[in-house]
Amino acid sequence: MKPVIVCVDDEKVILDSLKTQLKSAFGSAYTYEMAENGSDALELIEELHQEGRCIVVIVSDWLMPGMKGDELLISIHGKFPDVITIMLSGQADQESINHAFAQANLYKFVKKPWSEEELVGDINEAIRLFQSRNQEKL
Amino acid sequence: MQKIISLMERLQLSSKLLISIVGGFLITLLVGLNSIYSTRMLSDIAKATYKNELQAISNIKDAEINLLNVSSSLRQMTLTTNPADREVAKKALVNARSSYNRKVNDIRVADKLNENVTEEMVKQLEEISILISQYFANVTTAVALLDELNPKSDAEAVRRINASDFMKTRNSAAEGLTELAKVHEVIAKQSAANSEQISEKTFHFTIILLVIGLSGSFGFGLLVNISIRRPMDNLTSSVEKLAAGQLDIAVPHADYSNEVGVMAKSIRVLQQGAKVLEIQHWVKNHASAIFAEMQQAKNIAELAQRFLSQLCPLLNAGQAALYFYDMAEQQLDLLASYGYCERGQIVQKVVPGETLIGQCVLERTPIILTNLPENYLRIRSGLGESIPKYAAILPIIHADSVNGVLELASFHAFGDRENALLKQVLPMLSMRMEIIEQNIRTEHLLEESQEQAKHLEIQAIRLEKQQLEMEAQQVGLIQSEKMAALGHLIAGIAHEINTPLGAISSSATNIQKFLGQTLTIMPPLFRSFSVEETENFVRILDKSLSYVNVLSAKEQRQKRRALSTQLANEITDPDSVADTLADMGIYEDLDEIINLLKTANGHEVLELAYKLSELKKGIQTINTATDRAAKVVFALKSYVHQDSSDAKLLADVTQGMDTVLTLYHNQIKHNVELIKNYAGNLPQIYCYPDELNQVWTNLIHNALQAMDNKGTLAINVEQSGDFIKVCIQDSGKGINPEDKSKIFEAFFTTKAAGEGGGLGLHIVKKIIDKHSGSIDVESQPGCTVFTVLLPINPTAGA
Repeated sequence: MKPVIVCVDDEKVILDSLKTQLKSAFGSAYTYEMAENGSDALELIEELHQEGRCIVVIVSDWLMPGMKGDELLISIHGKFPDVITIMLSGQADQESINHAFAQANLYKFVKKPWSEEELVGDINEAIRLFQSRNQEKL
Repeated sequence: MQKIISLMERLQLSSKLLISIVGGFLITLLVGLNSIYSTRMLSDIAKATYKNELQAISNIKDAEINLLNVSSSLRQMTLTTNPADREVAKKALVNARSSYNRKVNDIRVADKLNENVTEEMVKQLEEISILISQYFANVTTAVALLDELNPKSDAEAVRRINASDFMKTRNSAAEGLTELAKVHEVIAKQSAANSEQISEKTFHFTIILLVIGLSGSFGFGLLVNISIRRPMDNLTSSVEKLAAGQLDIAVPHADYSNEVGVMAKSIRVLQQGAKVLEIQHWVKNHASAIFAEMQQAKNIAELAQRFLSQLCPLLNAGQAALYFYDMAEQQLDLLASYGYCERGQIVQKVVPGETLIGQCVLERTPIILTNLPENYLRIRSGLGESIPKYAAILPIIHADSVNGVLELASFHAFGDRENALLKQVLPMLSMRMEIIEQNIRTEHLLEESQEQAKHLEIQAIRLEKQQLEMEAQQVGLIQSEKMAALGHLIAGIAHEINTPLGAISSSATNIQKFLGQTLTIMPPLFRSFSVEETENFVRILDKSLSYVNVLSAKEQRQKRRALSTQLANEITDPDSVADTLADMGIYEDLDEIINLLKTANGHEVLELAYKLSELKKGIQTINTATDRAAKVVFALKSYVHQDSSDAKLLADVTQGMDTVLTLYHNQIKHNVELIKNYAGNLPQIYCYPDELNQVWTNLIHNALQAMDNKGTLAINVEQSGDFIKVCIQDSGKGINPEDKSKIFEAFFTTKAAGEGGGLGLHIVKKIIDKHSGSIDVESQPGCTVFTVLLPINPTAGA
């Protein structure tokens, strides 16, 4: 089964752009899953886990209705510490970013508006990191 | 007597009452006891009389009767010859004799117990007994003769019975008995007389006791009355004297420990109070007289002279001197003196520390002398010359610095009154000295100030200029507050613009990339397509282009999974194909797709169609994002817009409100429920739309801040008579009742430093006033409503 990259953002246009960019960069090597808010994301990740899917990277916005990005990433990191977390936001305050770095082992913080090249580069590095870590484990 | 009364006066009222009650009770007890005793005695006498004398008399009478019965029974025997009758009579005789013997025996026994019976009476009874024994012996002989029952002996018996000797014995015995009874009677009478005497004595005694008791009570009552009345009268007269102004009288009885003492002490307290009042009155009157006198003085020397000549007679001071302390020269100069004959006698200049006067400057406390030395100055009066008994050297202090020293000498020590007067007038003097000093200084200053007036004129012109600048700033203030509010919004607005810009940028990149990828490969690819493949391509592309995505990410995901499952057994990599199809919005006619993918160019056809649909999607995204950004920019533009003309414009209130809400969209959308309720057909009003925007911005900004961007924001706009009524309601923490009256004041803020300068609502109020409208606030925790009324046709309109 293909590994999964998850994106979370409350703006549909952002999700669409992300997916298009990821798909064009990584093609059919990964499955791309989109979620519009924190609780949707948690539900999705639980489902994927039960199906035995391997989640590599999760990219999340910060300011969303309900659960904020840092809380979501911390919660996911608590359950699935292997998943690499990236925050993508135009508004997150420094405190929340530090919070996420400390408690969700945040891998990168990307500022909106983002450059495709940079984001794809970050995700590429994240994937490599994930692979090397999991090989070490094996 | 006087001693008793004064002793009584000291007693408590309750003690006096107690003594009266106890006295009455004792007299009653004495009378009662006496009566009981007499009654008991009388009853004892009556009992003894009855028991001894009357019983004795009755026994004697009984004995007499039995004696008579004996003789009559004997006669009965002689009168009959019938032996049976004689026997009956004999029996009666025997009975009577033994009865007689019993009675006599009783008398003897009783006599022994009766102390009234004399030895003579006992002897008399014995004599009677002897006579009776004789008589009974005679009777026995006669009865024996009669028992023989023959006429001869009968006759003998009769003869004996009738013999004078026989009768004489009996009679003298009977007489003896009668006499004895008489003796007892006499004794009984005597007892009766005794009783009468006792009862009479008791009666007299009781009367005497009652008289003593009554007169004693009356006397004591009088005493009590006097003991209450006298101190009361004394106190009353004291109070009357006090009321009449004789405050120095001694109030009596204050040493008593009873009610009178308490009252006397209270009156003494009143007296003290009255004395204090009198002193105050005296002090006040004279102080004001001295003050009035001092006010007439033109310079310090005159002031000192007037002061001393007023003060000294009041204090009975024979001599006085007033020194002025010259701070610059560090010396005391004599200003005025009183009672000194020659000036030469008195020191004109004193250095601080020298003499008592100089010492007083340093110590700053009054110096009082009572035992004056021989060489101290002397007071001259009509009576000659003598040494004063009392001297006071007092510092004159104003605002913590010594102005001068007053020296006073007198034959008498100053009392409370005099000291109080001094305490009152010295500060007045020092103040007056200060004022006169100041006046002199002021005169100097006046000249200087005239020069300064010219300076001031120049300054006034400068101030006028500043005023104009201030007014200009006032206008600028409104504008700057508007910009400050905008500053708060900038972060949100940046996001509002960045999001669509990001989408536009990424879509543009995608389009560029897809075009680059597809444009070159398209012509050869089309050429290689068979007719069927071309038809499929066109159909798929058509379907995808006409698809409008309304699904949420979750729904799309579920549909994609369903697709993936359906495709699983038909093709390789069903996940990717399902994802591509989902992105293209193709969820039906899967057979067609499966068939297509089985052809040679199937994957290329689908890929090309996908990329073309992505191009379309990118362009759609760009359009939507551009609209959104344009809306925000438009809102910003209309917010910041500043109309240079002063004229009011015809505008929609709701339009301005929507502009502001657009700018706040980012802050509202996440956790705030916005309830907009605009009435239909609202008329346009003449207003300054930019300034109203500022009002809405402020009110909405405050509302959001009050509820930490979480809760409900309700905005109602409706027509209310000649007004447009705008209500902005939030579910925030509310306004403190004590802050409510102040919120429209300038620079009032409850926000933390840096959050707001406290001008927002002040400017809101100014803008509403400019529109001839009104603003009101109702607030409680969880519900704060700002209500703005704006006239539809303002008379002051342009």
